[in-house]
Amino acid sequence: MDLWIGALNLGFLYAFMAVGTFITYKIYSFPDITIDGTFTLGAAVASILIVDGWDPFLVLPVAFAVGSMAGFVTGFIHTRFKIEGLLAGILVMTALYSVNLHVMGKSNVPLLNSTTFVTVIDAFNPGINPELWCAFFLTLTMLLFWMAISGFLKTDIGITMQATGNNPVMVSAQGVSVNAVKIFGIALANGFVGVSGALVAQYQGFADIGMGIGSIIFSLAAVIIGEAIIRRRSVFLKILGVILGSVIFRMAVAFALRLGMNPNDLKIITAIFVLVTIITTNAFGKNESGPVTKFLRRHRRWVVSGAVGVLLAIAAYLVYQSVSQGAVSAKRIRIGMILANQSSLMTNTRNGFYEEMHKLGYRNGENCDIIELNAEGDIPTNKTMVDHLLSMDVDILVPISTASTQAVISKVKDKPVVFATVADPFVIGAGTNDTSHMPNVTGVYGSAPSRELLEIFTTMYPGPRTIGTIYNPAYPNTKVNLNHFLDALKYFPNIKLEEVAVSGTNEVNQAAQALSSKDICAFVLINDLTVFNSLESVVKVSRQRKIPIFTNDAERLADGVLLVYGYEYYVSGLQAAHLVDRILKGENPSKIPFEKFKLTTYGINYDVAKQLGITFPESIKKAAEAKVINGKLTKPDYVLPGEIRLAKPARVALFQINSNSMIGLTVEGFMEKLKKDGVTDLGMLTLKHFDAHGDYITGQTIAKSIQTDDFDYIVTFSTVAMQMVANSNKTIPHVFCAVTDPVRAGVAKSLTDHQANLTGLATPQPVEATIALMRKLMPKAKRIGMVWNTGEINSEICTEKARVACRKYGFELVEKTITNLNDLEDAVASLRYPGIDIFYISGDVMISQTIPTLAKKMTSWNVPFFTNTSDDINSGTFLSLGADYFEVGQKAAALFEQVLLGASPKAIPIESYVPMALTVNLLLAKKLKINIPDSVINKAKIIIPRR
Amino acid sequence: MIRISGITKKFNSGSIDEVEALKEIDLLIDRHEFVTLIGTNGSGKSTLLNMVAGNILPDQGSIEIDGRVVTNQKEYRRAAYVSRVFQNPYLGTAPGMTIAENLLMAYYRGKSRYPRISLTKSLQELFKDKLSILEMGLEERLNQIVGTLSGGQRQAITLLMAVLQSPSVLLLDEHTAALDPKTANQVIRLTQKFVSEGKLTTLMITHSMKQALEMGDRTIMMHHGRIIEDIPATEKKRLTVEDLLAKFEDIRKREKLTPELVKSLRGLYL
Ligand SMILES: Nc1ncnc2c1ncn2[C@@H]1O[C@H](COP(=O)(O)OP(=O)(O)OP(=O)(O)O)[C@@H](O)[C@H]1O
Ligand SMILES: [Mg+2]
Repeated sequence: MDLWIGALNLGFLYAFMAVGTFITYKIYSFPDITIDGTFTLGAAVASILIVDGWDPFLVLPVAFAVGSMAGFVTGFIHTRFKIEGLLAGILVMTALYSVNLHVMGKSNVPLLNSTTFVTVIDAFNPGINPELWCAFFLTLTMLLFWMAISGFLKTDIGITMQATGNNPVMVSAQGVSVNAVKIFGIALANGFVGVSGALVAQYQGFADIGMGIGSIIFSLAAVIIGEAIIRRRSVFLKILGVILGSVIFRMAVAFALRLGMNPNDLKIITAIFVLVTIITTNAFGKNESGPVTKFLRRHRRWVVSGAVGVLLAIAAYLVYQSVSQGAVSAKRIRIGMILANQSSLMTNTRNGFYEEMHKLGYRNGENCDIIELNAEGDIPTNKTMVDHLLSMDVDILVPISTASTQAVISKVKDKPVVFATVADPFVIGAGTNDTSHMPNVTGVYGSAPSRELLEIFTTMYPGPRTIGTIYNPAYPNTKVNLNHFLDALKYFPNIKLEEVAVSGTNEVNQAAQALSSKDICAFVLINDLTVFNSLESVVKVSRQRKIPIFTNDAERLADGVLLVYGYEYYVSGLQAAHLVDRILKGENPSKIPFEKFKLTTYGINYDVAKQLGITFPESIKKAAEAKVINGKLTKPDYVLPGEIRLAKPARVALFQINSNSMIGLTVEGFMEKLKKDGVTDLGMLTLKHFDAHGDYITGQTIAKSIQTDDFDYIVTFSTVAMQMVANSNKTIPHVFCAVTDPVRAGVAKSLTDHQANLTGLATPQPVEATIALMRKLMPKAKRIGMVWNTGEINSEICTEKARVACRKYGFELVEKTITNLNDLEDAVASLRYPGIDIFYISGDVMISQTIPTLAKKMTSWNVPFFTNTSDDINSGTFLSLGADYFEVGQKAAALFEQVLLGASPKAIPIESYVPMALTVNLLLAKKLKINIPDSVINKAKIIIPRR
Repeated sequence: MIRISGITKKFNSGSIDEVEALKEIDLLIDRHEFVTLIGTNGSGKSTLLNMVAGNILPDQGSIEIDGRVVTNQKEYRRAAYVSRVFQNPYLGTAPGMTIAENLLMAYYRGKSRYPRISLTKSLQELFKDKLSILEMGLEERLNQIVGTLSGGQRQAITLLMAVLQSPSVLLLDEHTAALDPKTANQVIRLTQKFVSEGKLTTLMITHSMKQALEMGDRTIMMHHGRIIEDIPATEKKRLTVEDLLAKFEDIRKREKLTPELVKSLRGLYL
């Protein structure tokens, strides 16, 4: 029932616009395209004022005024400069697009928590269906408007306007300024269009930059339909026809939905509908004498009454059906799903949702019905679809996309809603944070992982770089993604951004060309519908100019981009399915926090790399999960790291012996990933952090206490911490990381054959690579000095590797061993004579705490200092080549999540994981007179001095 | 009173299509004077009329109406005291509107229009009275759409609209040329009636030599953008169509006209 009333209400609100078009098109024979922009202008101004606290009725005259101004401009340039009406309209409409964006400040203004005319009216609701109550008021308003506008057309001015449209030569001869009357009429018409926009925005609960697109076609359809059903000369009846035309048009949309028609086909049906009406109208009007027209003319009364009768019968049947449907409640679960359009974002989410629902035991058509509707990019249709779903009495609504979600949450307050694939639900007013939100709403969201993508970019292109990006600021999600991207950029002072805004797919190629001439080193594309719909035009430029494309859209890996890092929207659907399942099983949506997207895909395209003459660094090759090689895309299976719903609270011990920069980074990466995945937000997990602060005895004590203190999981950082725990603990699941060689450390025979209760990451120091680099940079060097702690197994391993590598590259290795830090100073001093060319520390946790002191000493000695922890560069080393431990920590967290979900550590092989990062200090290089080739500098992730 | 001094008009100035439609025209039409205007095709008659009406502006010279200089005044402003009837009977009325609505447009000629409903019973009565003067039975069809009327009826209404608010100047451009002879006569009679009753200053273009002589106080003849003959009332009364033709012969003799032109004039006016 709500479906029909909703359509009626929308029809009424749009009738203001249709009357505007009646004035321009029927009175002046001037199809005024300005209204596409004016409609949005009215909505924009009204929304901004309402958010600002204005009265929802007071904004209507303002919307009228601004709409009139837009119309005035069209009329003025049309008459004053003799520019054709259609062109004048297009000019002003195009200009209004920018104006509207400026007015709104963003592409979408939600009114969800603001006072709109709907809420004001509802305050007086005696308890009937709010939609019906609204319809009641709108009917009254329409009656008044109808009388007012028809009456106006009967006045001297109204008659002058009509005469002007009819015969401008005559009115001019009667002393009327044709131009002035035209401008007045166009301004008046646009005033009504502005009011229409202001009302529709309030009714649907938001203003959107795209809401005016296609207004002219709809309005023309309404006018033509109206003319067809009421063919009388009286202006009263003409205006009535226009209002009815608007209502009928919206009803037709609802009807098509009711029939289960694809709204995509609605456009062609509209076209045919309008065409047929015009043809029959002409048959009645012209004195043609074909047998059919003759028949129609002779029996016109019967034909018209017959058509009206059939329409009424259909309407009655539908109303009966929706009423009786409400009564019969022999039902299985009904899930109503709304998609905003057909983009891959939406459809992937939907596919994921279907699949996971199936897995969870929901069989569409058997024990549940999933009713899927697609608005095909038409914003008001979202609203009609919501009404349609409510009329079908669905149990739960699943809007996919921001626009659909907005339509749903502004209307539905008493049924659960699970949204998916929304960039930022807080912007549209669904809540203030993950846990505090509208009581009937929960869902899955997230804006693209820009920072991670930039991180990868700097791995490939270290040093100062310029990147280019293209976007269409008109899409609501784009604005969110862009802000997110700009925030992320703040972490990369080395990267300079060149941006180009476009307003349509046809401008994308030009934008890419423009960027390519600005000496950019890559396109880094944020998620934007316009750009992704015309990605080919960027790819073309990418190929011509050999500029790689990086993007957050994981779907586009095979389409000519070099590298993707982004969310799998498929998984958004999976997550949404789980939320739906929880709610259907009785959980209260208000208690279910919003979830972030849980799965990202990291993909690289070898074919594109080859075309552009790019080679991926090893670390990226290793890290990437999805690959395109020779046109073939390989992707890992979707494993939902997410569905972390712990049956009972779990206690986790995090254990580290030292707190040097390497361990610090690992822990940071670990925690960040858990947080990002929402694991720490679940409230079920207690994380306890233990740090022995370099004291082994304390470490031993901690290791013991962890085992007796009833922890459910243990995570260790560093080899020693792992060993201390693994020694005595054979039962509690244990994940380790920052370990050089677990086999040598005694917890495993091989990477697959390891102690049953543990698994983790092996991150060997790249000792050989470091020594090879030493040889490359210092061809004449002879002696390498190295100090290491014999108590540390990983230190021993590194030293052993160093011995082998030194032989290979023709160095003499001078080793000094210590067992505690007190001996360090003497050990280092003893290297002064006979003298060393290089000082090297690798994999030694204890000594690594003193890197800054050692670095100072080596600088004073004029000896280059090499280490295997990339972050050491900040402590004064000359060159550090090592794993990026932040990434190691993240990877460990992913592993830990698997265990948390119930995977047995035994079944998870230990993974060798070295995301390589090179850092170098050029100031020292100058001082030490070491020449560093560009090939090395280009690989560097951090360069001192920072650029 | 209309005073035209030194009016020159060139169309497509500077191009190969340049036409000098009016050349230094001087003309004074007195108050209440009824002037008929004849001349060859393309001699500039309509251009001169349009210049008085205001929808063509002169290159040089000035126009005065009742002592006001109106040379560059826009047409719709001049309409307050100048009204006109076109040759094309479809140009003078709005075909999609009723007779009453068309008359309303003329009722407020040159005045401001406000959002008020003026088409009341009393005004409709007034319109009925005026329409009855036309003797076409239109007073019974006040709410009929003008588009459904015949050309003659529409031209009669246009004429009525032109004189409804007694203008200072009435301009008629071959307003009967597109009508059948019977209707044309009817409209001519109405024209004479309105002009004499309203004592209107009138400038009428015609292609009928007979009309030119029978109507009005004075006849002007144009050729190639110039006034070549100005026949005052006294002389006009004595003239017959033959005399007029003799005059053309006379002009030819003064080498103002070529023999072909005389031939064309004969064809036109006899
Ligand atoms: N708007 C215009 N643009 C160009 N030339 C024009 C225009 N109006 C008139 N002319 C030219 O000016 C000249 C005078 O035209 P005008 O219409 O005044 O003649 P007329 O005497 O009214 O002729 P007719 O007896 O055929 O109505 C003609 O050569 C005509 O082609
Ligand atoms: Mg003419």
